[in-house]
Amino acid sequence: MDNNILPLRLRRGNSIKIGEASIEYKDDGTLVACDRYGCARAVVEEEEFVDIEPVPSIHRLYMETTYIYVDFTDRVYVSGKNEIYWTLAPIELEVGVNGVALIRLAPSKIKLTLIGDLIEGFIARYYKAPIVHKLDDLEVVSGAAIVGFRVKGDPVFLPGIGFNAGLVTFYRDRRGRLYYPLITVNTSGRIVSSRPTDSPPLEDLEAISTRRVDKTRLFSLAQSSPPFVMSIEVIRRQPIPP
Amino acid sequence: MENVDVVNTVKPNNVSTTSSFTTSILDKLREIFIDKAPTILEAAAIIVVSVFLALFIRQLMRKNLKMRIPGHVYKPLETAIFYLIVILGVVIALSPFGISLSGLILAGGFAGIVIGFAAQQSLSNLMSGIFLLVEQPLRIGDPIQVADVSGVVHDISFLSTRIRTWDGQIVRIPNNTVFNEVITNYIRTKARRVDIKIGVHYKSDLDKAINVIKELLDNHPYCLANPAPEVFVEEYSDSAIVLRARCWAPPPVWFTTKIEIQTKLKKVLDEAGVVIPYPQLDLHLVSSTADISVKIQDRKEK
Repeated sequence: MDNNILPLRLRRGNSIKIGEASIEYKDDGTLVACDRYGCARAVVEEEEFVDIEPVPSIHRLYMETTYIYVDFTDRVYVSGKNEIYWTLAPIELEVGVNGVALIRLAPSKIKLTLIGDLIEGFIARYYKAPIVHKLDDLEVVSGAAIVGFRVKGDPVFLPGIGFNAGLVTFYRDRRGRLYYPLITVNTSGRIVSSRPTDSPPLEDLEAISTRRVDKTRLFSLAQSSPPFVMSIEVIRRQPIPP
Repeated sequence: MENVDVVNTVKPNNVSTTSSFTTSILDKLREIFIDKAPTILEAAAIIVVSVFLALFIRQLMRKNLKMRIPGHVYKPLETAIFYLIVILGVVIALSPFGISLSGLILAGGFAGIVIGFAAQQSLSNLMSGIFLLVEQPLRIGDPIQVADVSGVVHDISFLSTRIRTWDGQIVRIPNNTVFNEVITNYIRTKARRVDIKIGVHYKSDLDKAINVIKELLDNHPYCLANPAPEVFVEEYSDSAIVLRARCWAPPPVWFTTKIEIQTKLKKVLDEAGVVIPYPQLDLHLVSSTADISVKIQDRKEK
């Protein structure tokens, strides 16, 4: 994360750049925060610091969904034998003071996608990332957190995974890398369903996020959203005639 | 004199009848207002209490429930609960007078027939309103088009639907009309297509034009990754190669997406050196052997 370990505190008179987002906290208390979609200003009275925390990437540019869908750069065959895989999912930065959120920023490009059909489907935040079997092989980029997911069920070619990120907690390892909670993925025929757990994907991770977003809107959206379910294309091998 | 006598003889009788009639009315009034006064007061109190209770519950619902459930569900629910409490209060208030619920329903039935003949149109609107609330082809807050009225649904009552048009006017449409018209609801699907046509010059690099437009759509945050944006040649027209750019966007931001793409399109094409031509006409002469005399005339000479 540009050597910046989140969450962090920014003192007056300093500025910081994380991914494509930049935050400047001027001496006169003016806070200017920008991402590729625009800038926002706020005036903070009598506070020496502003806090910058990671939040799930579901707020910018408008809150349409609490789902995040990670499209794998390569389709991967998963055996469904309770194995764990690793990928990345986007985060946003929330700038706040004393638990009051002021500005949210997207440190990476925002893209949305439709999961399912036009009538019954749903919109999810879209992100393209690699999938690896060993965490060490994963290159963590700025503006993203690590996602560990455990796959159980039928073997499938998995094009991506999604999850409801509305009320998740973030974790951090000793190197300062961010993690989404462990996602469980169940595969059954063409149906892939997944949901975040309350557990970290690894032991020895520190829970860091204390959410302070507008709970009414987010909470109702996240609560009313069922687990992420998608159907995938399955190519069945034709049986060889005797 | 005879007449006078007759009058004189009749007068005492008349006075006596009027007096007994007045007495009877006064007795009746006394019976109603004095003997039954406590019951009437009780009934009035019950009605007043039920109205206050209904208002209180409505307030409570607005405070606790309105933000949690969708407007299209909340509004009919609020109306139904409010009137249910008031009607229950009226029924309870009238029961000491020997007016039962079944009697009211029967009376209502007769009244319904009478009113029905008198107000067929209103009844038709009422029935259409009920069907609209049940079928829900439109909900409060939906961007819609009904007949030639386009805007956002502001309110759906039992008799009419009010639409706030895009230019900020409130249009009241009888429910009967809404129910029988073709309704286009722009928000019922999860995505809506943005369609833009643009002409590029025949001498422009077509692949380049397609690529820069595709890139613009790919980079727009509201243009969905799936269904993927597409750009293709739609027509070889008289003055330009007409390209069509399509992408899908969530309905609440459809208009924003459309105007942003339309605005940026010219800029990216200009930057890429792709020309958007004016309408033009090439004139080809069949016989080029004959000389053509051309006279350039100053506008002032005309």
